Amino acid sequence: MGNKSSLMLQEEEIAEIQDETGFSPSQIERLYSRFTSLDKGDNGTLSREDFLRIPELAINPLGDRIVHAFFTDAHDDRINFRQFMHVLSRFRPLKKNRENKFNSREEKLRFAFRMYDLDDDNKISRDELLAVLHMMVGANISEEQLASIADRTIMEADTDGDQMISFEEFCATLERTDVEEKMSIRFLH
Amino acid sequence: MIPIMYRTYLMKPSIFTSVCLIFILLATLTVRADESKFHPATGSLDRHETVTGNSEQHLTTSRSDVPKVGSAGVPSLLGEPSEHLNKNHKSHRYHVATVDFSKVSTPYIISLWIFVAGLAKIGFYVTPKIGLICPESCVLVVVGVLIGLLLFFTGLEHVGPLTSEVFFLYMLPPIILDAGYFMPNRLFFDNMASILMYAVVGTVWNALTIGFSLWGVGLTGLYGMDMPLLDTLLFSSIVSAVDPVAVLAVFEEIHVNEVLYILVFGESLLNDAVTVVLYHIFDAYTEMGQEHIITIDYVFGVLSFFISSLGGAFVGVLWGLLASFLSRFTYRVLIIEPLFIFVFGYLSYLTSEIFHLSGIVALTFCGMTMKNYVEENISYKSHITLKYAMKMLANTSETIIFMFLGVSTVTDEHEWNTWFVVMTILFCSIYRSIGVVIQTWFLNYFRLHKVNKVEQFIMAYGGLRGAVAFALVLVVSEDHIPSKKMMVTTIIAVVYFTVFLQGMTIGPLVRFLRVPKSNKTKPTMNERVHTISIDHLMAGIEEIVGHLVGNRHLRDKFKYHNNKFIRPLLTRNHQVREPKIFETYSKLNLADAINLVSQNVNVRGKDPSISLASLIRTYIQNNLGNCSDEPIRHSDNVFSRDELNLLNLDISELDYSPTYKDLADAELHHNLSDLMFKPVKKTVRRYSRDLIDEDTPFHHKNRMELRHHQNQLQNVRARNKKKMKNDSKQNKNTLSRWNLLPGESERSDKDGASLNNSETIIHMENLDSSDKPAPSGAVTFTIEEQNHTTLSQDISDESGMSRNSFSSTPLSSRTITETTLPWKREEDCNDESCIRKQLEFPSWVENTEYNTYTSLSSNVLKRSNTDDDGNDPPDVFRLLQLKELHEKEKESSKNQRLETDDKFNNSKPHEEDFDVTAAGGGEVLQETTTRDTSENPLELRRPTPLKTNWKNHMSL
Repeated sequence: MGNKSSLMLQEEEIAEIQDETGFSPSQIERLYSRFTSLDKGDNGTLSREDFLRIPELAINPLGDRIVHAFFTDAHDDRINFRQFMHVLSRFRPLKKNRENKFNSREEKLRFAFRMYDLDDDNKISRDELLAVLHMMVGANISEEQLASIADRTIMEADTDGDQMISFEEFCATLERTDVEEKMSIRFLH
Repeated sequence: MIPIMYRTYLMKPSIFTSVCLIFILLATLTVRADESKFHPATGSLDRHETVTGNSEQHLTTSRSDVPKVGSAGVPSLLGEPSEHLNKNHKSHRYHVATVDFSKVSTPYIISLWIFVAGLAKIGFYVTPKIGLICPESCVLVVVGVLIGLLLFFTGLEHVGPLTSEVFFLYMLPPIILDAGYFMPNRLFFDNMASILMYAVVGTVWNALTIGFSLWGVGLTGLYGMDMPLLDTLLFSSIVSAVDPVAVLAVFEEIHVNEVLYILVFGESLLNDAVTVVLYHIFDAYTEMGQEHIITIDYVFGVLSFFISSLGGAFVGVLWGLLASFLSRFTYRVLIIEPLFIFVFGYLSYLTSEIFHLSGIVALTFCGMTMKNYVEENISYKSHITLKYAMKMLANTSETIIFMFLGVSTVTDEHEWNTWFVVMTILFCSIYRSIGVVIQTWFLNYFRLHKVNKVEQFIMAYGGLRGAVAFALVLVVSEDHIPSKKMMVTTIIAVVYFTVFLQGMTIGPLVRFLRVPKSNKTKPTMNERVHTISIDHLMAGIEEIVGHLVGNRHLRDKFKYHNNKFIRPLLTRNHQVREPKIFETYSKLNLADAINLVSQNVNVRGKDPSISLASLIRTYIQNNLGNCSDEPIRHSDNVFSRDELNLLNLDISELDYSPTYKDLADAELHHNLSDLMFKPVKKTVRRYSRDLIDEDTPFHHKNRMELRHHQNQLQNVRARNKKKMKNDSKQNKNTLSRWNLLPGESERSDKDGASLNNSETIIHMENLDSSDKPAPSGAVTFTIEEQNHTTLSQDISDESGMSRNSFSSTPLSSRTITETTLPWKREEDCNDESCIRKQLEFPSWVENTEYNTYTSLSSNVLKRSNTDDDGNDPPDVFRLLQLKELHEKEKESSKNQRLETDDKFNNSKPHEEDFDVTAAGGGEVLQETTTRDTSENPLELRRPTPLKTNWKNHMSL
């Protein structure tokens, strides 16, 4: 499988992706084989259904959101390998002395922010937050409790008083958190 | 060094120290007085056994003598008859006072040791600056040495209290349980692979290299004695293990970052399995003799390692799950709730020891398992108790261990072999450093958080040896290993070297090398929520990437199955999938509230009857919808007070369900107040509608006054009518229930004031009677004592007086009475036994008798009242109250509540009292308002503070 997929991937394409994302060629090949294995229809692109076919993603409370986040740059409902790699490159570990284009702290945070921000207005509204809380906490909890949690969360983060969490406020609340480490995956070489 | 420390130790609290010394002397003397008797701590008969007697014998005797520990008094009992016979022959006199120390010697001496250890610990913290020089463990060892010297010179040096049995059975478990229970699970499992690597590979590496090196050096004849390979290997397996007690003692003081801490500490916990196995292997091999070992023994040796460690973990998890399951049911016996944790932890330890599994591993895993589920089941108080008790036990054990280590040092059994000691220390340090570097290099390839050079150094340097090694070496039988004494001495030397030299320098080194310190702060709400969402996100990404790297998807999977299968079985309230979110929320709110309260005390609020809770609720109703009306101020803290007031301070209030105890308490309180109540004849009160009665806010007594008044009227009528059915000893104190149920009263009217045995209610219909005049008898009193005398009383139309007197306000069926009495509610008056689903707040939250002293909210109110030197602070309180008043006015004008009969002015004050509280008690106000606005009042029974109600309100 690995050999076959690497054959399908052109040398220059690998070089381009490497240049754009910082993945090493072997990592790119590895991920390409994953990409093709996800691609059930063999059409070189992935649809939402392809993602959701992963069983663990189906039980992930934020599964839909994660998949959705992959498609933010996509024009239609499919993403190609390059877009796929662009998204994944956000989760490369940070290297201190190297330029980090996609995997900077801000990019990582922006991806996390996208889990909440469904309408792309760069703000988390109360309803958006409530929706995510609902997904994570489960359905059996009373609305009031969740609402007060959401209120408190917004109140805590909201510095400009618009009852929303903007991206800047979101980053500020996570200042103490080691996002660089938390949102990195050790890709095998 | 030691004398200097000792002097500093003595210098300031000289009184304290002298007291200490006196007690130590006393302890010595008591021990001495009882010298011939059994010594409990050693578990051995002391007098006749020569000190030089080999320790193997020492141990065996200690085992065989253990039954005698408990039976210190038995010999006297058994022996006494003969003595008594003898005495009878001589003279039988009753002694006024007798001394019988032997009877209590065992517990007495144990208590004395604990006492002295406690004193030493206090001494450490009382003495300033000593904490800067050296860690606590060093001081304790020094104190131990001093006591040892004292015992030595008083000829009691054989009272070596630290035996391996005492250590492993009684002193170690509390420390390990504490460590396991309060282990940061997540951190532990994140670094699990590394920890296991260090613990297993590292320890084996250390044991083998140290053993072979010592043996190799021994071949040169440096030690001046013969050291066979197996002996050195046995020795090295003991000495190679990092000691959890010592590591804990030192690392908790230096506060390095969590990852470093968990790496060293986790290693020290888990390597116990390795040490135990290695120890048993080599012990067995030495017993067998080198020449008899065949290959299968080696295979079994390796196998037994897996059995010991995995078996230990399995036993621990099993007991942990069992404890969790039981804790589901302990809420009925709250008082012993914390006990289960201890017992189950200890049982897991003992169980695994039965099968020669690693007890430490078992206990660690037991604690880690229990914590997850037990914490959700037990009450808050039990949690606190548990925490303190566990910390106390662990701390005491630790203190005693270090002290005993000191005491045990002072014997004349030592066999000092300089080269052996030096070589051991040298090899220990060198091989640990090499091991750490090699393993870290290997691990860093896979780790996300790379362990850097400095951290590696601290890891190597923090490999402290301690009492575990000492206790283990004591068990070595001298028959097989002739050099045992030398080994004991060497171990002590190594322990001293690491505890003193490394323990004392590691703090300054950490500071010097600028090792990242831990910045442990409580997570904010945002951090908590976002971290969890990020976790899910990363788990999802890991799944998409599809590599088997990272453990986040594993954790997510575990979480999923945990929520689906395990938690429903083990926890009582398992609806919440992310209990951490709620935990954080409650904790933060509690912290905020405490913070608020701590900033304001002594000032009494304007109207304590208005609870903060109701204020907040009304405020939210009024303002949260259009926030632009109220620009929210911002101060430096994350939370300004205004913001805080918007929040409900206690999430549990939202879903309040009182316990039986609460209900019983409330009932008892009301009963008591009723009994104690002395009616005042007639209080003349000025009355003004708009004035909120500040001096006497609603009070429980008002209710009583009201009832008293009612009662009087009733008596008059009763005298007129004489229509008592039963014996009319209407003791009003037995009125245990009081409720207002318009529909109900009608029903009971039709039933002819029937006797309901199951319900004990007084129907006071007259409050509602202006809306719908009762058909025949206006007021129906059904007064009952539960299942005792039942008497009901019909009050006929003459009660028009009272009816009118109360008819001025068309209050909704939920009146203040209802809010005052927590146990009676409309919806569940048919079912008394069930725990009632409460409204948003416990109803008596409005009752000043409850909240005057202790209520958080009233304190908060006080503060908000007297804010800014009382210069008309633009605070929420006032705003809220004005709004409320305004609200009330609107309500009242709408309902034409001024239609009161002038004749019955005297009853108005009471009436007004109701209103005041109605204004204050958010629940009542809310109820009235929502009732007016909505078509379906029942639906709004449960106030949903943030959504439904204010929306309704806005629509008004």
